[in-house]
Amino acid sequence: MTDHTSDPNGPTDPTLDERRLAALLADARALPREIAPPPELHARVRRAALAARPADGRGHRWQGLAAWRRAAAVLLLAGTAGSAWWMGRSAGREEGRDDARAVARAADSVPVTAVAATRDHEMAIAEMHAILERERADGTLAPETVAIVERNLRIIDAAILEARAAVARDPGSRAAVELLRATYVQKADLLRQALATLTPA
Amino acid sequence: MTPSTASAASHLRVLPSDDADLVDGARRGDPSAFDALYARHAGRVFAVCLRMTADRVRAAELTQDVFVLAWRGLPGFRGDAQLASWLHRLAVNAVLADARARRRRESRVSLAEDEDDVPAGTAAAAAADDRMDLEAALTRLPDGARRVFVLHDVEGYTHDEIAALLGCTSGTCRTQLHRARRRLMELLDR
Repeated sequence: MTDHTSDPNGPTDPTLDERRLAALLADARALPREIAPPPELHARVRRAALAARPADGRGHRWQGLAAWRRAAAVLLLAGTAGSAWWMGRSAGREEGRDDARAVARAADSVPVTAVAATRDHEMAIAEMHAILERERADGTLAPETVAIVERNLRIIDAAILEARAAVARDPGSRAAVELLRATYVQKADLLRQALATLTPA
Repeated sequence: MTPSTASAASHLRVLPSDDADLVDGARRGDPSAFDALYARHAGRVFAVCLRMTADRVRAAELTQDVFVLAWRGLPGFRGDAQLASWLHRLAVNAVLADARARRRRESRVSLAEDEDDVPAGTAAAAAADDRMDLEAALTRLPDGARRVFVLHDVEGYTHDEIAALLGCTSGTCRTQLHRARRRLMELLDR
């Protein structure tokens, strides 16, 4: 077969053996859409999923910290000018679950630009969450690591909610979007640090 | 309909009414809704994970991650995408995020340099006879080339979509795809 690397950026490579390529592509398209996973996987996945979100429909477990405590913790964790801005905005807020629910409702109207800024982080965070949940269920995460991560995640999650609400209130504010992004980065870094404590098998 | 659009169009089926019921049940936290979600979509998710990783153990772990993510995310699922498409996207992103994390931990070279014929991992063994089938041949590709081939020629993503997912240029994707196709044709002709 002739080696064809002269035009790798073109939509087709006309000097390849077209019949063999057509056969390959036909085989690729004909591959089964599904492959049966190992039978034992269902029970394991079910256990992990229901542990992540209990069957009583409760949402996120980590809510309810006082706004001023969240502000202080984020400032401690981040040490950035953005967090100082956020702390100033949050200093006058009341404590309690009603406040958290109001923040969550406001966060539903986060504009598309802010969502785009955080989407990759959200996916990465969700993936790391899932890994940590599995490691915790398997007992490979040290209890002290779990306690620290959970405590910090409570704080950061609440901070994310408030940052999203701030963006929803002021969609044109670059500072608000940047703070939201930075808060996600903080969370991702926290989770990476926790993952880094895992001992390779 | 061209093959690429046919494959991509498989993501665009109208949401069946039973999927809508499933989403409602999942929002309520009904465990039977989770079972139905898994039964309906696990094969597809596992196929994506397996073909992109060529590692059954990792594919199973990633499938678990996808369904945990999905179960957690379903209360917020607004139905503006098809459920199957959403799960498919979660699976692709889970595989790529896992690969990035592994690459960082192992200090491996970047996708653009992933040219060497490195064994892919503990996938299903190659066919016993000399004529390898495509599934087995995929496991023999370098990770980067395999992912691009699976995303483009199996799953129907465009070069631009793949480039966005992988964080590279569409030119790099085309190069990887060319290498993957060439290597697969060599393997399948043995």
